[in-house]
Amino acid sequence: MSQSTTQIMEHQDIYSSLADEYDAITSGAAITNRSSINHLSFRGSDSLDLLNRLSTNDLLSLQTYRAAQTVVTSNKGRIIDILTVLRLPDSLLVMLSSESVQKVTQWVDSYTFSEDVSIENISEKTAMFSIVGPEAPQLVAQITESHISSMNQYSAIPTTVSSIPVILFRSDFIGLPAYDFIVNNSKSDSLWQILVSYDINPAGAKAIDLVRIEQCIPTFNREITEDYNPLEAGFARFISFTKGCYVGQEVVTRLNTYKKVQRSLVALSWKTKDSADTGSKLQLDDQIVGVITSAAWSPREEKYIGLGYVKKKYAVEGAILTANTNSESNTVEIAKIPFMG
Amino acid sequence: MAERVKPEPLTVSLSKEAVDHVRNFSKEAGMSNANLRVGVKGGGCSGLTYVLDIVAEPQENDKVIEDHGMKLFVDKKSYVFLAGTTLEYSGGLNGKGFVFNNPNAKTTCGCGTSFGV
Repeated sequence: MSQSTTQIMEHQDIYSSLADEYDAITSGAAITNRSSINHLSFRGSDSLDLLNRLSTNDLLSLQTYRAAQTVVTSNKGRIIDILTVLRLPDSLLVMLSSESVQKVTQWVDSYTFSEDVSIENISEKTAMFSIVGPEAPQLVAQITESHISSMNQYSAIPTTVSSIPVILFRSDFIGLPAYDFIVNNSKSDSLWQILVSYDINPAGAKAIDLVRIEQCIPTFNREITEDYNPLEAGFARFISFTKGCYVGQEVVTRLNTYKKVQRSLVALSWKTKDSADTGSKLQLDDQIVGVITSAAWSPREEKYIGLGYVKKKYAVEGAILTANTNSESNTVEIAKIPFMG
Repeated sequence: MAERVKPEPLTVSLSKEAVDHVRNFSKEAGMSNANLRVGVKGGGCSGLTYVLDIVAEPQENDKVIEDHGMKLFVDKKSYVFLAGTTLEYSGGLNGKGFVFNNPNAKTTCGCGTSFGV
C-alpha cells in the first residue's frame, strides 16, 4: 500500500491510469470516493407522502432499509432530477447530485405547505465510499461484520467495519455490483484506511464515468436535464403508472399511452478516433437527428464511446450518423438502444 | 369626475349550495360544530391539488373567513394560491361535487382536481 492511499483520496479524475482503473472496476473491484453525492435528510411524518406526490415511483410501499429511485418531474413531465430515496427507521436519506441539490431542495420546498416535513442537507456530516466491480460482493463480505449475501440492489443494512458504524447500501450505481459505505464524517478517515488496507485499487471520476457510459446510465446535466422526459431517458422502470397523481403525471402517462415519446437514449461508438464533443449535433445527411450528451475515451476499445438522444425513427442500431463540431466531422454509429420506451 | 370605487379585497368565498351541502352532510354525520378548512398541497398532475376538510376549529395561523354563516379556515401559504376562489357545489347525478373556481389557476389537469399557477 502506498503512502498516499492511507489518506482519503480526494475525488479526482485519475489516480493511476484510466486503463488500470477501468480494468479494476470491470473485472475485479475498485474503491471510489462518492462524497460528491449529496445527502438530504427528510424528517417528519409526511416526508414519504410528499416525495411520492412529487416524483414518479411508488414510494409509499417502501420498507425500512430499502431504497427506490424516483424521478422528480416538472408539471410538463420533464426531468428535474432522479433521486435515490433510502428509507431509514426515523428519516429518509435522499441521495442526489451535488449539482442539483439546491434546485431539488427549492423545488420540494415550493410544494410544501402544511406538511410535517423538514429537510436538512447533511452532506457535510457524511462521507460515502463505494466498492464497485464484479468481485465487490466477496470483498465486502470480508470487510463487514454482517452477512451480505442476500443483499440485492436497493437494500441496505446498518453494520460496522472494525467497530465503525456504517450504513451499507447496495446501489449498483453504474450498473455493476456496488456497495456504498455511508459513514459519519468524523469516522471517514479511519474507515478509508481500513478499506484501502484490503488492497483495493482506487478509481477516479474518469473511469467511473467511462463505465457509466458503457452501462448507459444517465447522469445529471448530461442526459438528465429539463430538455428530456423520463421515458426518453429510459427511466420507465422508475415510473409507477398505477399509483395515481404526482406532478407531471398526466403528461408522462399520455406520452406512454399514446406512444408519443419523441427521442430515445442511445449508446454511441465513434468510427473515427479523433475527438468527441458533448453537445455536438448528430446528423443524417443534412438533417439534425440528435445530440451527443456524454463521451469518453475507451482504452479497451481504443475509441470514443458516448451517449446521446436521437429522434426515435432514426434510433436504429447500426445507423451511421455524423457528429459535427466547429472544426471537424466525425462518424458515429448507434451501438445500442438500451431502453425501448 | 368618476367616483373611485375601492376594490373588494380578494378573499375565498363559498356558494350557498356549498354551504348547504356541508351543513346537510355534517348533520347526517352527527357533527355539531362543522366548519370548512381548505388549502392546497403539492402533487397533483399540474403541480398543486386542493384539500378540503370539515373541521371544528382552525389551526394556528389560519386565516378565518365567514361566508353564508359558515367559517372557512385557510392556512396562509395556501391562501396565496386561493385568493379570489369561490368554492361551489353541484349535486345530482350529473353534478361535479365540490368545484374550486380559482382565478389563479392557469392550467388544470384533465380530471380537474389539480392546477398550476
